[in-house]
Amino acid sequence: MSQKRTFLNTTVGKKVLMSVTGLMLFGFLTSHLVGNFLLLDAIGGRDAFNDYAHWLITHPAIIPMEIGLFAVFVIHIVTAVKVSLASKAARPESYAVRNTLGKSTFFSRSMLQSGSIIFVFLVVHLYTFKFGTEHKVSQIKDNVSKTTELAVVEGEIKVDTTTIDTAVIESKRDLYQTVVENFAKKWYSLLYIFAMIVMGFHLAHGFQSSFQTLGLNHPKYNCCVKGISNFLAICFALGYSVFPIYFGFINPIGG
Amino acid sequence: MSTLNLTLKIWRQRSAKEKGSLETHKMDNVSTDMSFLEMLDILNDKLEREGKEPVIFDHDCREGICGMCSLFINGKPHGPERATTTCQLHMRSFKDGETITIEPWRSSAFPVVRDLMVDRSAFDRIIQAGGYTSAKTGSAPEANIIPVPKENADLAMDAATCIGCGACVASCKNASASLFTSAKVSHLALLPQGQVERTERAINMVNQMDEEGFGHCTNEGECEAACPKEITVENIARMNREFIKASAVSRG
Repeated sequence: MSQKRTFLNTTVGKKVLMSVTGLMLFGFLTSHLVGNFLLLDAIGGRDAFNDYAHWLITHPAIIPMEIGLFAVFVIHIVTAVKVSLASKAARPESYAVRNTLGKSTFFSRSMLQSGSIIFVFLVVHLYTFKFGTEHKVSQIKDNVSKTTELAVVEGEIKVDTTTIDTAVIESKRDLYQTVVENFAKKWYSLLYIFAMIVMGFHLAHGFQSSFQTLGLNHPKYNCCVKGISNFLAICFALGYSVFPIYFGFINPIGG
Repeated sequence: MSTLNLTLKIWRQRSAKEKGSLETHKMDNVSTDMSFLEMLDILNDKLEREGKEPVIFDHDCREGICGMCSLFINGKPHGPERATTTCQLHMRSFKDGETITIEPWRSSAFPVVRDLMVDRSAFDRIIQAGGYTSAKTGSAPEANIIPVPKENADLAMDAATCIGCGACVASCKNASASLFTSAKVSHLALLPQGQVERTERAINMVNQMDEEGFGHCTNEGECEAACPKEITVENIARMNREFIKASAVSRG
């Protein structure tokens, strides 16, 4: 027998890598969605969202986290391409007539296509949000504004120069503005919603499939895993669509 | 006894190296009581009498237990019936005037020998890599000396019903042999007699499966539906479990 393959060079190992990175990306999607809800006035609003975004991008752990996330995306995508190419090679000549036997689903059959659409979306998303228009909000610290107020009331031009020097106007990115401006474009919002539905398709098969790949299959829990997978897919597709629907159609404040 | 008039589109290919194509044959007055292979026997009889090359296809026991028959019939392995091998498929499953397309299993690991016959020795090499147990030779041991839980005995028996026909590979969009390999890994991993080689078996059989060029399992479950012996994908999860565990602990 020929040389044994390393774990990640086997078909099972590659699929384990796909499922583990997939579950990690699922975790990222969860935290991203929770943060997004701060966009809504009922929960957060402009200041709350910008404060959260500012906290996030100035956090010391953000660079290692972003590198890790980038690596997970790359591993998931590169492995997916490798797996797909290997599968193509495993059947060089296709059938003249081929029918489904009813077990596969539209979602399971279109993982490569849905994944590709999500990839395109991801690039556009980073370009238009993370690296999109940089609006700034300036916030003057509370104690400073009080000092100036006091000076006006007393009617004296008694300005303490040291106060002005330290009254550094805190300037942070107004990511909220970028969001509402992007979503005010109706075509952009529609494409965003389309991408989120496709992501739901991807999750509907991907989530449950990752359990099977990792060997977690038991008749007692199988229907539960399938149910949760479909439920989460719908939650994520709808949850992420709330923002383009709200800022694009219900309350387009950035137009 | 009713009869059918059929149009057959049969894959003809002289060897693995030559290109094949579909060839059309008219079949009249086909009895609905005939098996699918008997129908092909009659076609071959006709072709031989006309001095033409008969259609080559695999078959042996014709009672659904040997795993020799194959055929991708109208887009499905072993034809339209569930849990039925081609030899057990009868012409009553078809309609009068129907066009039936018959193709070989298509997988780079199953090269076409001729027409509808493919070389499935890749499966034999997977078995050789680990589908065996070490047994003590000598006098016959007392049969009941090793206790086996009833549930494990049942699950092992379910896995052992695999006849190695290759319908799982044929139906899989990735031409993966995961269902076959997992049935063999499961069968022995569930029984006390299979414990000695348990770790190495999982590693060696998965390695051989990959060496043969089968595709990846993307957990769609078409194989389960195609399997004439109704082997379930639960076995694939068990194989993955065995393989992950074995890769973590093996010193080989």
